[in-house]
Amino acid sequence: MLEGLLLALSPQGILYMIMGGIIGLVIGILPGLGPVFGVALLLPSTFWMPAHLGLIFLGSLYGCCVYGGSITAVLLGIPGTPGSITTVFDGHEIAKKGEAGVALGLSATSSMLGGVIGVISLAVFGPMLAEIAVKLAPADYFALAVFGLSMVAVAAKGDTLKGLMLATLGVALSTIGQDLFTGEHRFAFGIEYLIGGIPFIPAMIGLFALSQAFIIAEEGGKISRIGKVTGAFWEGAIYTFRHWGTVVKNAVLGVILGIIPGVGINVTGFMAYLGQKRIDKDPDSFGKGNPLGVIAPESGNNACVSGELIPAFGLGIPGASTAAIFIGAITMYGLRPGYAFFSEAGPIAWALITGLLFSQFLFFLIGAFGANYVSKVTLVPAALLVPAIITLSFIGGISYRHFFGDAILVFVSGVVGYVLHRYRYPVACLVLGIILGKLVERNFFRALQISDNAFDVFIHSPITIIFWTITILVLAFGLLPIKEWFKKFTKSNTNNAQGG
Amino acid sequence: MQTGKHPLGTYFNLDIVFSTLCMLFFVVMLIETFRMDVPSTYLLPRALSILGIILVAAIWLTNLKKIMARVVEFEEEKKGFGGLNFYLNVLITGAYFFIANFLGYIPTTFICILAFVYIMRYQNKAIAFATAIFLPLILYYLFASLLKVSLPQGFLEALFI
Repeated sequence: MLEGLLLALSPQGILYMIMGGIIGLVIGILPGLGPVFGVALLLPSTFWMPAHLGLIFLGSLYGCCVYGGSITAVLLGIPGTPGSITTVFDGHEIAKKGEAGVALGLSATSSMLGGVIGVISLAVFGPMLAEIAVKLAPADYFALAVFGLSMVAVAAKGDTLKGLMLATLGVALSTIGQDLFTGEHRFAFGIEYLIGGIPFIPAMIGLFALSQAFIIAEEGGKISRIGKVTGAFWEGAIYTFRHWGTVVKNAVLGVILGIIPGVGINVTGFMAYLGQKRIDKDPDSFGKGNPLGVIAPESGNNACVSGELIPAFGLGIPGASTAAIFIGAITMYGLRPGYAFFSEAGPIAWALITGLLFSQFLFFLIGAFGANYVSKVTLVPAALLVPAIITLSFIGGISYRHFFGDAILVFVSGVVGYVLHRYRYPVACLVLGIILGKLVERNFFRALQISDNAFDVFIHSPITIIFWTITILVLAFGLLPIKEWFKKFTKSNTNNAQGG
Repeated sequence: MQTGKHPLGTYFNLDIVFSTLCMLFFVVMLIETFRMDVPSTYLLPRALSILGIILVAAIWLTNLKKIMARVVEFEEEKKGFGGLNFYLNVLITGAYFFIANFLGYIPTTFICILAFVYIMRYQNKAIAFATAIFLPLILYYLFASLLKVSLPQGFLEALFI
């Protein structure tokens, strides 16, 4: 372990860490180019590097890339990566108030702390947690996905009808394309583009980036409504440290969701954000610039990054695309993923973990020193910012699969995103539906196949029962006025007691 | 929530257009599921489309009450200096997305930036021209040359081959 630490902290190690970190930040900032793209693109360039340097480079790139997505989410309302969608809701609202520096401080500090907790979990509990994760059966996954969908009750608070309709639409959209079991084409209507299903990344760019361009253009002026940038990075950093409990709680959630194959940072961001909203004393302030609305998803996402690597390194099972590329990288260097990875790979494994750990501090430092400069973006006139966002959205759509149809999807979902924003539809519900739709359908039928169509499979294991219980509680508290009933009940009891 | 009369009238707004399109989608989806044989293929979509139809109908009913009261909810447009009408914006953006594939990324982006600068009445012409020239070139170099993203080259393709 010490040898690995020394390798990572050698002058060469630090140089590769910084290079990977800066490239990762730039890729993360650009809409449409997430960690998967970044790690896959740069993997071939590590062929000529010694194993420890190559892995430090990729680890740092991955860690910083996830954070990079939050910078544009805060400043422009454009999530650079799918994991930073929920950061837009409150982070961008804070920036609109002219306090972009504070918002960047919140996101950088919570990302760093969440990331550190994630890396420590990877190093300390990696093999043990990976073993537990692979024991989850399709019925457990189904219950988990339904629990995720139950969060719609929280996201749609105040607009329950619209929220439920959007979630239904999201799940329905996720069924377009090839059937997972029979291979039959569903709802493609002879359009070749739809056979593969609706791609999530271009849809997300349209819903969040292009729609922002329409909104900024309509509002005119500048993003910062007060026309200047106030509030320092450190204010946000100190606020985050004071709310360390929120960070730890969401980081643990991020690690757990990261370990479960197929869940990933998209779901984690939503679970952390909506979970925080659910338990907060003032849930109505979420979406209007509540700092905890930035801290919760950011700490969850960055912890999830390391969580995703736990089954990949510990068992050789890639839970996410980036983890699969990392397995390719370590195999390329002649290392074997699995239980023996941490013992056999020795210093190289620890160098990678150290690289991941220090990348968290690296982006925090870049954020601390660069926040004042990058937050000036909120002062750029709309006339220049709008075409810049439009052209970046176009490139984001094209770059995903090098396919013109994706650019058209960006345009269409941009118009839809604008309408949803203007008429106060809870857009989070649509995204939740799209993300969780496939997980629900796939695991529902898989569980039935395994159990020979016995429906009791869905209440068979203790994990499933736990998920169902939480789901029922979330739905009950989200849709029914239970708090009011409880207040009335206690009030009438007190009155009776006093009367008696 | 701001309330008031929508610029395009009380009876027509994008909310109604959107919910109508959603209703159409759910109806078509429901009809399509009756052409499928295997339960794993049609079960979830059929359930979703029925639920979707009910939910859109419920939204219509709520909207109808508001229309009867002559109040349509929408977020008030907060137009600052040079604020741009949504429909014009969609027209320019749509044209940019479709034309870029044929005319090429660099010239289309150049025209698009100038169009926005002109329509949104941006005064500093030097900065506007510098942005229109350098932004597409920098982005093209960054994405096409460094990140190997195949951006449309249009008529400029001949110059590169």
